Amino acid sequence: MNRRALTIALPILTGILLIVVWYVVRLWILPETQRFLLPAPDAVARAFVEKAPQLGAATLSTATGALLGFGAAVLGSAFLGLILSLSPLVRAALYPWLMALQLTPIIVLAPILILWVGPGLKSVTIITFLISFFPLVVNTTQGLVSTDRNLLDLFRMGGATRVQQIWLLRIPAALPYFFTGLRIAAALAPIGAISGDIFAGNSGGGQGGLGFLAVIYSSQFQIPALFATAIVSCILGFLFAGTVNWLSWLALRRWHDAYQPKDA
Amino acid sequence: MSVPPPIVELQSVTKHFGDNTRPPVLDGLSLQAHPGEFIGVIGLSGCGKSTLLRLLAGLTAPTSGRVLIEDHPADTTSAERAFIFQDATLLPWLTVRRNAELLLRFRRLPAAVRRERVAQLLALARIGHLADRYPRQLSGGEKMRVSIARALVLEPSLLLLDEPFAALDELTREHLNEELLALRERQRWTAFFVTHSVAEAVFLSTRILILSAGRIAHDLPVDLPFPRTNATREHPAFHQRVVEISRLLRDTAA
Repeated sequence: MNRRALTIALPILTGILLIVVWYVVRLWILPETQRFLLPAPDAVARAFVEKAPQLGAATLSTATGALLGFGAAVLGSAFLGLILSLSPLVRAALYPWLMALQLTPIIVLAPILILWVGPGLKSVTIITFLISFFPLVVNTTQGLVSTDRNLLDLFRMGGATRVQQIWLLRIPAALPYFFTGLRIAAALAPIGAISGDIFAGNSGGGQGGLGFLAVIYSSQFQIPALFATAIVSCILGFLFAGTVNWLSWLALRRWHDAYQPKDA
Repeated sequence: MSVPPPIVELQSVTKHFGDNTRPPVLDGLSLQAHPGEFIGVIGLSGCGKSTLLRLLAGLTAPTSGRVLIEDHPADTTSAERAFIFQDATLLPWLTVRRNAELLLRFRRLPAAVRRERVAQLLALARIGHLADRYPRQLSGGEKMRVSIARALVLEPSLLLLDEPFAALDELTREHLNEELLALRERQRWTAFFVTHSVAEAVFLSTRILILSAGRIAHDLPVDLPFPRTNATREHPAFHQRVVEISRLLRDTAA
């Protein structure tokens, strides 16, 4: 079997093995009184189908918040990154505060935000923004200030204007760093949106997101539905990360070393 | 016959980095270079070779003294100067063609003019067939050819080269040495070429400066005839010059 087929087959095999272990644990290891804690995979699948309308609507709601917050973080960080890259003084003034924002757990900020803007999509978007902003701005700024000194000299000697230096040199040179930030942020954005839902999802027009649904199912002891919610959240995360990886590949594949075949 | 005015003139140039407690990198250096000269600059690490090039490029200013290019201070002159670095310093996200036309883009030359000049230079540098490749697809020698083409596309009057072939294998280096001289036949720029290799300096130069502790320790003509080819490298006069200059270089280190 060639390598490519193996990289597809192996994870599938692992998955099958996991499901087998799951059944074994449920049927032979857990005492009967605790089996309800680990619903059988087929029960989860049934819950998945049964709750599909609810899960679909919740996914749409969470994805909307995640996309809006993530998009705002991308735009905001590109703008702030450019400003930060222009002056070490501005960096010195703002960095510790960005750090402080990052290190404050979002679950503590969420209730404050809800008091300010109310529950619903707006809060979820802001929470997603806050969680994905920091890795983006740090990586973008790092990329913009790490330009090769010789290349900067070349531009200076060639009489390039400041705008040409930024547009033709600093921005393209920062792209690999930007995409690193983007990949981290894309993994965080759905987590941010779901955490946001847990606090801010309810009463937002009668329909909450995945986090809200998890709270409801948990309070009603619908354990198979909880597992189904976890799986949908996982898929949402994959969609975000996958899309960003694909965009990164599109932007860098022609010239960046990370995307070159090993034998080239 | 009147002597042409110098293209480069350094008047008692001193350059300090940081505070004045450390010895200067260049120490009261004076020098004239005339159009068409190919000046090899050798010396131990830290003797001020690279600083000399950066002063001529206008990338840094002297602490005292004057650096004149065509009678204007080096940091204000409009004379076309081109710099070739030790790495090829190509932009990895641009093709060979786009890299080679970079300096013309800064000048806002019309696209048609840019295309024509770049095509001409790529052909001269024998990389016309690589125009649509990206730098990662090139060998070290090919990258350096792109770097040379990019510099020469401006038709500079002064060419500054900072150990451009140091990272290449011996054979590629010899090829590029010969091709550099062939390009000089066409464009007649004045060159300052910093190198660690005495043989390379002798092969290329019309004049060699040995720098030591920020001063010119020796200023030596190299009167081997042009065109210089592989046959030059095998000529006794070439060997003799390499031996002499190596000895002088060792003496400055002692």
